Amino acid sequence: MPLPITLTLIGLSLALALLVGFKKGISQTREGKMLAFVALLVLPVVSVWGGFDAHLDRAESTQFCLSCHVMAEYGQSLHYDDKSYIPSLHYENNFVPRDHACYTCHTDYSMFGPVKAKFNGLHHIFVQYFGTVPKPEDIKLYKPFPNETCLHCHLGARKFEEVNGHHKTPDMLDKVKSGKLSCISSGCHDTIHEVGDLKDAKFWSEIKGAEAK
Amino acid sequence: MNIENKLRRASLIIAAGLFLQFVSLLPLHPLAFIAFVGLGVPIMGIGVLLFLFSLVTHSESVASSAPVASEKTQR
Repeated sequence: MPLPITLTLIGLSLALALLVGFKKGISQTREGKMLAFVALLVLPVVSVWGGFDAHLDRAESTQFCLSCHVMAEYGQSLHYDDKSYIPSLHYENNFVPRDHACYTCHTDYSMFGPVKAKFNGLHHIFVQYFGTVPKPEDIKLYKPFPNETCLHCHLGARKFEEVNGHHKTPDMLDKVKSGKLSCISSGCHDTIHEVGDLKDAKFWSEIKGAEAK
Repeated sequence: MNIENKLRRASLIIAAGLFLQFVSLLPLHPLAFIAFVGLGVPIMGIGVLLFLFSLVTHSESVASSAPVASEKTQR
């Protein structure tokens, strides 16, 4: 449900609940009883569903992921002016939707992948406020990055299937597709966020800014 | 407490929960989600339960008073 509609629905529910609360004798008439039933049961339940849906939808946005201070450097790493950095290559060339960049690559494309990602997010909030927040460069994935996430988009693409690098050995592509050879940790595409490189890095957005001047 | 007051109490609690839900949807931050789930929804849920409870207890009191009224009319 889009956010403006959800906000309107909750606002309407709120107004009707207040009307029932402050209007005297509302439960005396049949219409009043029906209004109370809608205002105090039906609309609040629908509002919760809409609000929950809106929150989950917004939790998938890049802005949401980067709203925690510890993630700021990961946000910067999406703007490297270097094609060897996988996240910035994908972000700058719109290979992933920019407003859902983190979620696109860090969610399993399995049945319960999004649910798992949300529970991981709750764990991150707990650590942020009640635990010890690690340094950005010390943050690690829960498990090695799965090939399925890359193959979700790249599998079957001509460039992926035909590029020379994927045919160094006869069975290389099959190993990648079956997950026996990792896209990232096998040493082929292992330049990821590398937030330790940020100090000396050149950024695409800076170049764009300089060109504009 | 009569049904009117019970409904008023329930509606005000529901309104408080809905207000928190509305406010939690304005900022884009993880804590806003926590406020929605941890405060808005439980407060609203308590209000809805009180509303349902008031309906049940009211209908029970009406049912229990009905035979007494009929006895009076018989006399």
